[in-house]
Amino acid sequence: MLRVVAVTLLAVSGFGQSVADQAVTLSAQGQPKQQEQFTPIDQLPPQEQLPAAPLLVAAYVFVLLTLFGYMFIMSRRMTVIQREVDRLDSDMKRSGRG
Amino acid sequence: MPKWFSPAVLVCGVMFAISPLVIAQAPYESTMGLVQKVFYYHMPSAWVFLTASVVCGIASARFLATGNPRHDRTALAAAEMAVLFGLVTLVTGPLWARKAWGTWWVWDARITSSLVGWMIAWAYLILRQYGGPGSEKLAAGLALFGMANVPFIYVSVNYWRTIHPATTVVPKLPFSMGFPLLFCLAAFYFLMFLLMKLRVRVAEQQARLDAIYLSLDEQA
Amino acid sequence: MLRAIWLIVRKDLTVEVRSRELAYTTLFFAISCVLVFAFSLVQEGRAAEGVGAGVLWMTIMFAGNLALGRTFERERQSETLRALMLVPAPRPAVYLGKLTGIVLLLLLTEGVLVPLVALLFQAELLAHPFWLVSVVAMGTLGFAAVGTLFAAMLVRARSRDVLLPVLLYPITVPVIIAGVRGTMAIAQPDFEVAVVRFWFSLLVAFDVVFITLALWTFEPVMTD
Repeated sequence: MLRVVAVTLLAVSGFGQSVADQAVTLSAQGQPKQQEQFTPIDQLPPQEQLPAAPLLVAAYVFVLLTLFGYMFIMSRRMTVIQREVDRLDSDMKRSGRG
Repeated sequence: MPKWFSPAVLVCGVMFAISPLVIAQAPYESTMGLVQKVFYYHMPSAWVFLTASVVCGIASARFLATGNPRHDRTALAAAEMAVLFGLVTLVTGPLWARKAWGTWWVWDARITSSLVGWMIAWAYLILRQYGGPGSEKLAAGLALFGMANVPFIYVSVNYWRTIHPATTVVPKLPFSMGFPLLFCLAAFYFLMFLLMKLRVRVAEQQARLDAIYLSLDEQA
Repeated sequence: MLRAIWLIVRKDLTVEVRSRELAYTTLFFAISCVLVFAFSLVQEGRAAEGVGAGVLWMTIMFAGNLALGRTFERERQSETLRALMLVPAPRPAVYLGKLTGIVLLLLLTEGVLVPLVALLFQAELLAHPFWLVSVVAMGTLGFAAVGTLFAAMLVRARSRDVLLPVLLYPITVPVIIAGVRGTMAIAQPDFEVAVVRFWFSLLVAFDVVFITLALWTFEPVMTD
């Protein structure tokens, strides 16, 4: 499994490098096109401009809560299962394997 | 869990803890200002999502070919990673877009393709959870189909957007291979590796538990 | 192998001709679907521009989903799927036989559906019949190809009724996109062959890839 992850990482980073190069070239070609469907933020009247900080903080908090929350839940599940396995193992040792 | 696991988790945690500081060092992007900083979490999680999907697909293929349950456990862990990091990507994206583009969602090719891919990963987990016994192989088949689908989804969604006479609103994301990005990429991939290791181990122990109970039943 | 496929199709056809249950229920459901969409989307007597193609394909996907579930439910009840797997025919023949049956059923339904949608939604679907038949046939084939495999896989699974659409719809997203866009291009007043041909080719590519994949995975997934 480790090998799979390592190989995949190398492949993705290689691919990502080429994507990155293309994107750098494209962005060097100029500002993004203004689209009529969406008003660029700095052309909105000041009262309609959203403060960026709450969105940024919300994003970061969500990321950290989700990822480390999952880590926490998995670790707890691990301890429960491990405890059960150890208990059964020692029971079987004591009663002598059939 | 191996001895190095807990210290590794600590290191990873520290990396994430100091990442806001590292990110704050990066220069402001000219059109989007402060909110662009979401990018440093959004892009690495998107990459991890894609990587996890590929890992799941490959592990599923190996499982169908060999029947080795190790591959099945890897596929399951990878699918959970895909759903997890995909969710992070799909939430941080709109939070960024709201400020940068004035709207929560756009039907852009890349975003829509990611949404569909994420739903396939989620469907995989639903199948494994609720499909009853024997659903491991079915899920592996689904993962295989999902992986084969990636080019089709991308092409169809891409041309769905452009041939239709509506404007697309995806300013090319400015891309700086600066230090903060690499740092966050490293942190995210490190986290994915650790979480996968943990998840696979949980699945292994669960399998061991089931085997013990089975043998106890047989002895009784 | 062809003989095996033909035998399976003939078996399904015989059962179906006697009761006609699948054909009538699928057809009725498809028409009800169209009605529901009509009530939702038609405003002041006119449907929005280009909505007909979308309604057509949504209905195909919903009706197709039901038809797939019903076809394999029938197999499950009489345990005939297990019997089929024991038959000394190549396994892929079972898959292809079921696929042919499903495609025939769906094409039959679409024969009624397409004129109906064209009529109710004022969509010029029948303007270029050759292209329309090609696009609809290829799209149906792609949808059925994935659906037959998944439905067969799920025959012995729990929650199979809800799991089929859960698995099927995300995977068949390219089919619905290509189908709708292709049909819309056909119904357009300024008809451009190149656009239709593009979506048609995408559907053909999808069909080839996924039927091949289904043939490979049918055996490992169906055997314990």
